Amino acid sequence: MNLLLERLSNAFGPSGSEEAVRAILIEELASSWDQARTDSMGNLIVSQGLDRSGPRGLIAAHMDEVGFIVDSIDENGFLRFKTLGGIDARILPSKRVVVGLHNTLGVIGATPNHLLDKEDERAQSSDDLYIDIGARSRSQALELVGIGEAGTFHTEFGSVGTGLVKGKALDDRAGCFIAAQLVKAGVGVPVDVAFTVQEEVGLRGAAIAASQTRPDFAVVLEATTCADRPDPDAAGHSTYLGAGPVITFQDATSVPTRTLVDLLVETARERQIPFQWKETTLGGNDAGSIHLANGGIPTVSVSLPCRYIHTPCSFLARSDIEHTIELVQAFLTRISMEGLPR
Amino acid sequence: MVDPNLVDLLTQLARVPAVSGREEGVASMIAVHLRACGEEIHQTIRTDALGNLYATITSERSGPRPTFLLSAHMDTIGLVVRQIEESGIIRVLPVGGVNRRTLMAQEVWIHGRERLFGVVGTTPPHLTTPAERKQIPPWEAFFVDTGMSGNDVAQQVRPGDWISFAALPTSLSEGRLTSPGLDNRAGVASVLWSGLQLAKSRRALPVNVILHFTVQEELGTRGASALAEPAPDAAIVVDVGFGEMPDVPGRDTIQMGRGPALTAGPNIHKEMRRFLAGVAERHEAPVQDEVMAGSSGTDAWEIQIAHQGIPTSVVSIPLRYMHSTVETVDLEDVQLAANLLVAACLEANPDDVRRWSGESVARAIK
Repeated sequence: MNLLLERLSNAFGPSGSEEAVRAILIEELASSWDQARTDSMGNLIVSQGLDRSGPRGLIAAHMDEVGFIVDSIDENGFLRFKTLGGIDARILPSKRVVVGLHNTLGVIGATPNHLLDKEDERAQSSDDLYIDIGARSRSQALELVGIGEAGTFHTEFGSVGTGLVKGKALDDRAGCFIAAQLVKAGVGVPVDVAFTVQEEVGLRGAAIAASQTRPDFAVVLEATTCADRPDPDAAGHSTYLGAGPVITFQDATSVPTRTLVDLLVETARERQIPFQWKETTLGGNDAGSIHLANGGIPTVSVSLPCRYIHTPCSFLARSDIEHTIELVQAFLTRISMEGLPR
Repeated sequence: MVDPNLVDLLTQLARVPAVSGREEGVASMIAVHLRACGEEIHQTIRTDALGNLYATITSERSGPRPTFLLSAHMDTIGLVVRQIEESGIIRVLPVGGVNRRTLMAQEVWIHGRERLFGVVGTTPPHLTTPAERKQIPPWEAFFVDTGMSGNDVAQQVRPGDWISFAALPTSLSEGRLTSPGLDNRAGVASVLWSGLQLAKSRRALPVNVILHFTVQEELGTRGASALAEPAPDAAIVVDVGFGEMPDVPGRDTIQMGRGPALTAGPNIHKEMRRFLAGVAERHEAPVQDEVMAGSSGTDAWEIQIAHQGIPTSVVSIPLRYMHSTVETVDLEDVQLAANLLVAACLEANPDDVRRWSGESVARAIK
C-alpha cells in the first residue's frame, strides 16, 4: 500500500499547481479506467462502469495541498510569499520548503532569539516571513524561482509509531490514494472519480467537476481534523486517530444528506467496520460545492482522521485507510443494488 | 576553493546529534578523524570528566615552543523529556536557548532506550481562534508525539532523555549548507580540518597546537571553564556569528560569503587580533569586523580568564537563523575560517606570542 501513498504524499501540489500529483494518478490508473479527461482547471475525472445500471456516483478527492505562492523577491534574493490555504503562520518559521517550477529547496528563516525582544510573545504573520533559497541577489533568485510560482513543505513520507504513517499533504493525498485503490480494484458501479484541484482555496475544482459529471449522488473522500492530542478527552478533539472512518453530520460548508449518512452508518454496522462521527462542525471540504451543483446533489463525506493536518508532518493510521476503502466500496455496492435511499 | 574534504567533515559532523551534556557522538567522530593523522597525535587525544576533548600537534622544530589553543564547542541546543503523559505525549523543556517560535511542527528524534521519531504537535488551524494564532504558546503547551501509546512510550523513554532535531544537512543553491546544529559544527569542522592540515606540517610549525572541543557551551560556556592545565599561550575560539538576514539591523549582523569576522571588544586580545587581521591581509583573505561590547557570547569569555589569563581571539563564522533547525552557512566562509587558523599557526612569531601574555616592566630609576 505504501508506495503509491508515499509518491502522492511527497509530490509537489499546492493549490493551482497540482500537475505532478495528476501525472502520478494518470500513470497509476491509465489501465483501470474506461475513460478519463482533464478540464479547464486541471481536475482529472476518471469514469468506470457508466454502461451499468444504477445511480451514477461521483467520488471526489482533492489533489491540492496547502502551501505558498511567491509574490515578490527582494533585492537580496529573499522570496516573500502568501499562504495558499489555511496555514497557522506559527508553524512556518524554521521549515524546509520546495519552491517553483525547478523544485528549488529553500528554508523559511527565523530571527534568532538573541536579537528579539524577550517579552514579545506575538506570533509573526506570513507577511513577516521569507524563504531563503541561497541566492545572493534578486537576479540570482529569479533564475530559480519566478513570481507567482508556488511552494510547499519539504517532508519525507515514512512509517511512524504504532501503525501510523507521517508525511506532508496527507490531506488529501490519502483521499486520492483511496479513490485510486477503488478504481484499480474496479468499483463495479457507474461512477466518476474526480481528483480535484484548489480545494484548499475554496472548494473550486469540485464545483466544475460536479457540473461536468451530473451525478445522482456524491461521496467526498477527505482527510479531516484530528485534535486527540495533547488531551484525548478534550471536547474539541474532532476525531480520534485509528478509530475508523469519519462520518460528518454537519460542517462549515455542508449538511450531508441525512439518508446517505444513515446508509453509511448502517453499512458500517452491518459489515462491522469501525466508524466515528466528526465531533465538530468546524472545517469543510469539496462537499460544500458539490452538494450545491446542478440544482443540488445528495452528498456525504467519508474522512480520515489526520493528526497535525496542514503542517509539514501529519499522521494517519493505516487501519483508518483500510477501513475507509472497505466502507466506501460496501456503500457503493449497496446503492447500486438497492438504489438511492429515500 | 572550498575543499570537498571540509564539506564532507562538516556534513558528517552535522549529521550526529549532540545536545548539550550529550556530546559523545561528535567527540568520537572527531577522535576517529584525528587517529587517522598518525600514532603520535592519536596518543595525545584525551577527554576530561565533563567530556571536553583535547589533542596536541607538537612542533618538530627545536627548542621550547609556545602553545596555540584552537577551540570550538561540540554541543547544540535541543530538548529534554520532562514527563510522559498517559496518552503517550511527551512534555518537554529546552536545553539551551531554543527559539520557541521555531518549534511548532518540527520533526525530532527522542533518544530513549532506542531512537524514536516524533513530531512537535500542534492544534489544527481549523480549531484554533485568531487570537490563539497570534500568540506564541508557553513552554508548558509544547509536546512531542511519537504516535505510540502511553505504555509503549513509557517502556522506551524516561524523563531526562534528550531530544534532537531530525533534519539532516542539505545544500541550498550557491554553496550554502543548511542543517540544525551548524552552531557550532561549522566551528568544529574548521578547527578539525585545520588540525588535519597542521598535522602534516609539524616540521614548519613555529608553535605547538592544542585542538580543543568543548561541551555545554549552550548551557553557559561550562565546558570551556574547565580548561585543562598547562594553560596555552594563546587561544582562538571559533564559533558562529549572526549572518545578515531580513528584518535585522545590519549593525547587529555580519555578511554571508565575505569571510569570517574577527570579534573586537574587551573579550579580545588587541595585539592578537591585529596579528590575525595581518595574516588574513597577507593572504588576501577577506575578514569582517564584529563588535561585542562585553562577552563575545562564546567560550572565549571563560578562556580569557582561565588559569593566569590567556590571550584570546574569536573567529566568527557568519550563520543565518541561529538556534533554529534551518541554520545556514556559506561554505566559503567555513573554508576561509579554517584557512585562517592554519595560516595563523604557521605564521606566528613565538616571541610575539609570548609577549601577548605581558612583560615584566623595569623599575623606574629616579
